[in-house]
This record gives sequence, structure tokens and C-alpha cells, in this order.
Amino acid sequence: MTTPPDGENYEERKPADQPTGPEPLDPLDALRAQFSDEAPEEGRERKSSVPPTAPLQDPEPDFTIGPEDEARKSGASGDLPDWLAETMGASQPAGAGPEEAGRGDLPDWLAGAQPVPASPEQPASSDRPDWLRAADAPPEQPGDVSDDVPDWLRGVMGPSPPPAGPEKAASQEPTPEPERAGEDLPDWFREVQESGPPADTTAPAPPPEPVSDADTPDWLKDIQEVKAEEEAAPSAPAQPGAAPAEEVPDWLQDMFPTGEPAPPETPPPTPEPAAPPGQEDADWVSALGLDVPETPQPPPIPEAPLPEITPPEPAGASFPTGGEELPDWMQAMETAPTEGPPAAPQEGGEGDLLGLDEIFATQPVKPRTEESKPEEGEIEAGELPDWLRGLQPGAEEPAPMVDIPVEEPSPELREQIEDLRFESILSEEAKAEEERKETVGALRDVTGVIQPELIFEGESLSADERVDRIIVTDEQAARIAMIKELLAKEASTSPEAVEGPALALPLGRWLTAVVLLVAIALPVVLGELILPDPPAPPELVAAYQQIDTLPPASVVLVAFEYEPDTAGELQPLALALLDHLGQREELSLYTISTRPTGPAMAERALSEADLAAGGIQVTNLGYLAGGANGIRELAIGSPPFSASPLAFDYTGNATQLTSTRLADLRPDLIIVLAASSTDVRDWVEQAGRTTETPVLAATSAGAAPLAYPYRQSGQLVAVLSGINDAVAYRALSGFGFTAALLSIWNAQAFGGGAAAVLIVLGGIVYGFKARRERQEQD
Amino acid sequence: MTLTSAQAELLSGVLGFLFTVALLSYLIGDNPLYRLALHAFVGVAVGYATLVILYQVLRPRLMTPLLSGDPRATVLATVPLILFIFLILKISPRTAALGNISVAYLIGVGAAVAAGGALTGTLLPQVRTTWLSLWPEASGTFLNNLVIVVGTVTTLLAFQFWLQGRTAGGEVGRVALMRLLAGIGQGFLVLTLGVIYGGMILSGIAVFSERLSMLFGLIIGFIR
Repeated sequence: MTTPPDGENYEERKPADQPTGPEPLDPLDALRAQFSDEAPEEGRERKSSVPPTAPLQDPEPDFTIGPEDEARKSGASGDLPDWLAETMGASQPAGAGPEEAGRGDLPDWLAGAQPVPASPEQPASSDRPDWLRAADAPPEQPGDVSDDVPDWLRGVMGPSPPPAGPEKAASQEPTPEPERAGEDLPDWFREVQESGPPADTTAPAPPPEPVSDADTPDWLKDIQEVKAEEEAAPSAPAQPGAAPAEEVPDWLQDMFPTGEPAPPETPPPTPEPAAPPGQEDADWVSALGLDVPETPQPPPIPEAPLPEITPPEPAGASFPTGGEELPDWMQAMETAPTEGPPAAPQEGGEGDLLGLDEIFATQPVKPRTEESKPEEGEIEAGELPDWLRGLQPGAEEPAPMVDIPVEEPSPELREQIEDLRFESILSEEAKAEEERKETVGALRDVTGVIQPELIFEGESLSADERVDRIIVTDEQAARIAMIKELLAKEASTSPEAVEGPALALPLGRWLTAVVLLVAIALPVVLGELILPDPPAPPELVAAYQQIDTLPPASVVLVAFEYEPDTAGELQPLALALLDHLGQREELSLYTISTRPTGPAMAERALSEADLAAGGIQVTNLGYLAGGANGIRELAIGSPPFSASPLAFDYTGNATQLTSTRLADLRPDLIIVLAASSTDVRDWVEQAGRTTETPVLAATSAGAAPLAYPYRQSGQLVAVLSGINDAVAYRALSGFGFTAALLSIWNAQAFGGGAAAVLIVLGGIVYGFKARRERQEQD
Repeated sequence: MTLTSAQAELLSGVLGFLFTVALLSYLIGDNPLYRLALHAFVGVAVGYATLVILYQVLRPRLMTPLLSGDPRATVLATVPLILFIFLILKISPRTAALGNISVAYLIGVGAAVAAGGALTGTLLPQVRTTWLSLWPEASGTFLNNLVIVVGTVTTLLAFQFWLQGRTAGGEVGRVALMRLLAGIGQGFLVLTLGVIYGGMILSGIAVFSERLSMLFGLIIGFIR
């Protein structure tokens, strides 16, 4: 025995052609439907038949409600919907109102319930809205009216009450509604109708169930609060003792000029208190004088004591006047919000048919008491910032802090946190600096020495040690990782760091090394080879002639400006020149060097040269300190009372030379055996120009190109270079060749040829490779 | 125990062989044998240089005048001695300022000597040498003179960037003539550097050949 929700039921039964029918207000109607859905009890199923009330019919939200609407909500009679007025006009017997209750004393809705004759002065229907036009329709069109009446109300009105007065009842036409209403009535009610005479009371509507705050939307709460405030203040519509004419709203008075009868209005349905279905049915059925059918009785609801429902009296006989004109549901609206608990449902037709008292009673407007302040504070807290909230006078004190038991950190964790502090790190570093003690140098065992600035060494960078002691961001960590990666790449590509270097070299390098090794080693192993004597270039001839033309008892200074690393190339050249000098008679030969190992090279060359033929005098002056400065000193002479470079030989023995400078020595020739062109330049610049002594340069093959300009300028009498000139000089001099010199010469020739071939091949290969790479890039 | 010349030659030959092989082992990369030979050579060279300096510099030119008894020689010898002490004091940061005197003296004298020698011994003679006549009196000298003049001028122009203009695209660069002359000069530079590089290769091959010849002779000597 379930019925659909009110709204749904109403929608199904609403005529389609109803222009401005009493459409239920969607939010309220849905709310009512929700109430009926959430507790599908039988008592609420009765409640589902409660028609929408006047406030609920307002299609607009409450914030658009004008003063008139507010007045209607507060209990004005003009608040009644049209459909209800029409229904009342159709169902109520005309002239049912008592005579003592004049039309002017009755509220409009009650006046509408009385038969209203069609007035010729009635405003044109075009000026009236449809619903008002329908209200103006004569009551002799019950069929049309019944179409506008909701089914539930039609069911309620089905058993229309009997006429209040015999004269009025005679004039009142019988309504054919019972048959039509019986179609929409539930079965049980239909059975009741069929079994008994139609009752003269409307079906009592159970009051709505108390609505909890959680189920009530906010906008409805606001409505209730506003209503409560408005009802708390005395308002004109709420005055029950007002004249009936004053009760007519302005808009209705405008439509009905003074003297015109107000359109018939249907009295508001009397609210019915909630009652157990069975009992409720039994009451009102019993009030109708019918036998109560046997229906299953649901468990009673003890919390809501059901009032006794008495059949409403005939409208014309029992309508209150004056202060009792207001229906109970209006009175409940006045009293219930301020009194807190919902008003007890009144008996009979004085109950809250619409259930608004219940709804409004759920949110009673409480006075501004201390209990209500927190709610205001909550709202203000949402609007005000925190800092301003604290400045608000009378602001609530913050909630006391709740002591949440916090677990004490472990000493280790506390210590680690302390170590992360900047002061701690600095103190440790400063302490370490103070305690650091020098271990080497002149400041050994001295503490607190300022350390030199660290030089960044890529391979020895250890960022982890310091990073662990500071807080690094993700970006810094990424950069550290990048640096590490770069250092790892650099270390991996370094030839010195390659593990297993045998296979680490490229194949080309191995081939080059093998080719050169074979080309050089083959002549050495095979001994004397086939190369013819080298030709004597002009330079060689000039050098030979320079030595060969030295006068007897001449002085020759030989500078050994090479060291053991280049001795293999310059030693043969030195020997060739010394052998030639050895053939000069009474020659004074002095050797000197600006390199520490030069005297040793000179001594070795002198020991290997054949100098005994001409009876020459050899003096190894040894090391000449100062490089170019020493040569300059040798050229211009030492200061007085200072030892001359010519005073001692390389063993520290006195040379017995009285000369303190080179010019005094009057050398006939200076021979420079240099592995570097710098030595040749120094000797030319500092000694040759100063002493106007001819200089003969015998250099390595690599230094010869830079020595030739001095030959071109005449500062050098000749330039000899490398093994080739040594061999050629010996061939020119006719000294013969040693096996070692020949092997070296042949090895150099073969090695040089192989190197030239490799250079050409390498140039071709890498040239094509580079060209291909460029083409690929293009 | 005194080594004979033959024994000394044999010992030096064996040591030379071992150290040569150790140094050649660098061909396969850095290894302890190579490092051992390298450190041995450095140590021997430093030791020998120290002895040479002591016996050929300090003793004859500093100690002998100081101990000669001649006041003039002693006074004059104290000047280099003071400079020498100042130079040693640069070890300490507190006394490094005194060492600057010695350094300043060395640099000043060295720069003066080098500048004077370069000006009078290299620059002027070289300028005079390249100041050659290009008049074709003798075909033999004309070509040489032409090569020297053109080579010198164009090589110097290769390092000059002051004569610039704008190309068709608006970019700043050398004018066409400068680009031509600089290109010729770069050609001379390439030839010069190539000759130097070739000479260095020959020098290295000669040294390596001498080492191989020594090794082979020593091995043949042991075999025989």
C-alpha cells in the first residue's frame, strides 16, 4: 500500500491543459517528497496526499518574495492558491457560510468558499491571470473545476460535507465529484465510499513528520529563520482581529474594487496530525459513520501521539471569526518557531494540514544567546582572515591546545640534527684548521698555518665527503651527479688511466709503431747498407772550409748545448767536427755549456774524438751559469775581483787563463752544438755579435730551420744538422764511417721514408674521413 | 774497487739497455718500469746538476772570493751572496718580500740582456737580411730574394688584421688583397712548420736508431 511521492503523484494527475495551475514549488515539493520517501511508513503515505500549500506554490525562491508574499506566508488569507480556491468554491456548498459571519468578516478564502454570483462588473478576463480567471469561473462548472483539483484533494473532497444549512443546501447543486474522485482514491478508501455514505468531512491529512536539521536544506533554514523573525514581530497579516476587508491583500483589492465580492476561495485544508494509519483511518472513517475495515495495523509510533481527529464541521457553521479566523496552521506558524518544540497538532480541522508548522518547528529561531554565538563565529570565521579574526572584539579564544603525546627523538637523531647546523659545521672546520699541524717545509710542526687556497683537481674531487655534511637541494645534487659523470668520462678516456694499456691503443697507432720499428730496426740489424754517400751541400762545404782554413794556434770555442736525450743525433755531428779540428795544428780548443749536463756531453765527445793528431789543447770549461746572461758575461767579461768563467775547468781546476772575457781569449771560431734553436740564437746574439767571432751552428734536424735565418744574415758561417750532415761531413773530410754511424744513418733514412709514407697515407685516409664526415653533417 | 774501462763500458751498456727498454715500454702505456726509468733519469740528472752547480758555480764564484782574504773580492762576493739568501727567503711568506729583490734583479738583467741581444743580434740583422733587391740582375739571386721577401712580408701580414672591410654580405673581414697575401703567408708558415716537424721526426728517428744500434751491438757482443 505504497503511494508515489506527492509531487510525482500530483504531476501524474495534473491536467495537461491547466495553464497556471497550482504547480508545486519544486524545492519544497521535492523536500516533502523526500520526507515521504525517507520514511516510507504508512503514516507518511497519508502525508503524501497532503496538497501543496500556498507558500509551496510560490514558484520563486524566498529571496524574491515581496512584502505581499511575505504577508501571505505569514498567514494572510490571500495566500491561498487558486486551485484551492476553485476547489473550495466547487466543493463547498454555496451559501454555506453562516449569516452571522458576514462576507466581510470572512477571509477571502472563506469568502471564496461561499457561492459567489457571477458579477457583471467583474474585470475582463483578459486582465486577469489564468488562474484568477479560472477562479472567477462560475461554480456551476464543477467538471472543469474538478479537473484542476488535485486528485488527492479531490479524493478528500469526494465525500463533500453535507450542506450546513437547509436553505443553502437546497440551493447548492449536488456535486458529481464522488464518482470522479473515487477513481483516484485508493482502494481501501474506495471501498469505504462504496460501503457507506459519503462522509461530510475531508480526509484528514497527517502532519508532516518532524524534519531533522540534516535533512533540511540551508535555504529552507534561512526561510524558517526569516519567517520566525518576521513572525516574532507583530505584523499586520498576523493580526487575527483585523477586519476582513483588511485581510484582503492589496493585489486582490485592486482586482476587486470595493463592494465587489471577492472571488471564491477554497478554505485551506486543515492540517491533520500524524497518526497511525490504522487508527487514523479508523477515526476519520468512524467520523464518517462508516465501519472501519479490517486493515493490517502497522506498529504505532509512540513518539507522535496522534490527536483525535474530529470531522470538520461544516464550513459555514464552524469557521472562526475574529481572532479565531486564522487557521491553526497559521497560528502554529506564529507560535511554533518561537516556542521551540513544534506545536501539538490540533484537533479536527485546526491541524496543520500543510505540515508547515512541523517544518518550521524543526528550526526554531533561537534567541541570540550564548549558545548561538559559536554559529555566528563560524560564519564570520569563514569570512574574515585569521589575523583579523583575532582582532575582533569579543573574539573567541582559540581552542585550547591539546597535548598530543610526541615521541621524544632519539639522542642519535638529535645529535645528527645538531650536526647539520651551520654553526656546528663551521666550528668543526675551524677546530680542524686550528689543530692542523704542518708536516713539511719550513713551517713544520707549526699549527694554525693558513693553508693555501685549494686548487681544483678534477680527478681528486671528492664531493661526497662534503655533501654529506650539508643540505643539498635536488638541483645541486643533480649538478654534483653531472660533475661526477664528467669526471668519470674524463678519467676513462685518459690514456694514463686506461686499464690494460696493451689493447687500449687504437689500431692505427699500433700499425704506425710496427712500421716504424721495422723500418728502423732492419738497417740496424743488417749492418752496413746500401745508401750511397750523401752529397755535400753548400752549407757543409762552407763549414768544412771554415774549419779547414783555421790558422795554426787558433782558438776554437765549442759550446755543447745539448743533453743526453739528443746526444744520439748530435754526438756524431760533434765527433765529425772534433775530428776535423783535431787535425789542426796547435789548436786551442775550449768547450763550455750553458746546460748542467753539457760538460758531460763535451767530455764524452772529447774522449771519443781523435784529437791527438794535431796536438791540440783541450779545455773543458764546464758549466756556464745564467744561460744567455752567462754568455753575455762570458762575452763582456766578469766584474773585477770576481771569478771568470774562463778561470776554472769543469773539474774545478784553474785553467791558467788570464783572460776574463771571450774577447780577450780571441777565439777564431765558435761552434755551437745545439739541440734547440734558442741556444743558437743566444750564442749568436750575445757572443758572436759582441766578439765579432764567426759562429758555426751544428744543430739537430728539428732546430735547423730556425737557424738558417742567421745563416742568411751572415751571423752563422754554416749550419749543419742531423745525421745526414754528420755523415756528409765525414765523407767530405774523408774520415770514414763507423758501423754505428752507418746503422744510425740508414735507420734514419729508412725510418724517415717510412714516416713520410705514413704521413701521406694518414693524410689521405683522414682527409677522406673528414670529408665524409663533413658531407654527412651537410 | 775500481772499474776498468771495459767493465765500466759493459756496465753502462747493460744499464743503458735496461733503461732504454724500460722507456720504450711506454709504447704500451704507463707502467711501473717506465716510471722507474723515468725517475732514475730525473734523479741522476738532478744529482749531477747539483754537483755541477756546487763545483762550478758556488765554490769558484762565491766561496773562493769570500775565503780569498781580499776584502774587495769579499765585499763583491757578498752581493751575490745576499741576493742568494734573499732568494731563499722566498720560501717563507713572511720573508718573501726580501726575495723579490733578487727576483727583480734577475728579471731586470735577463730582460735587458735578452732585449738587447734580440734587438742587435736578431731583429736588426734579420731586417737587413730581408731588405733585398728584387731587381732581376742575376736570375739566381732574384728568385731567392723574391722568395725571402714575399715569404717574410706575407708571413707578417698573416698575423695582421687591421686592414679589414665589409664583404658583400655585410660581414666584417679582410679585404680581398689582404686575404690573398695572408693566405700566401699562411702557406709559408705551413711549409716552415712542416719542415720543423719533419726535422723533429728525423731527430727522433736518429735518437731511436742510436738506441737500437746500441742494444743490437750489446746483444751481438754478448752472443759473440
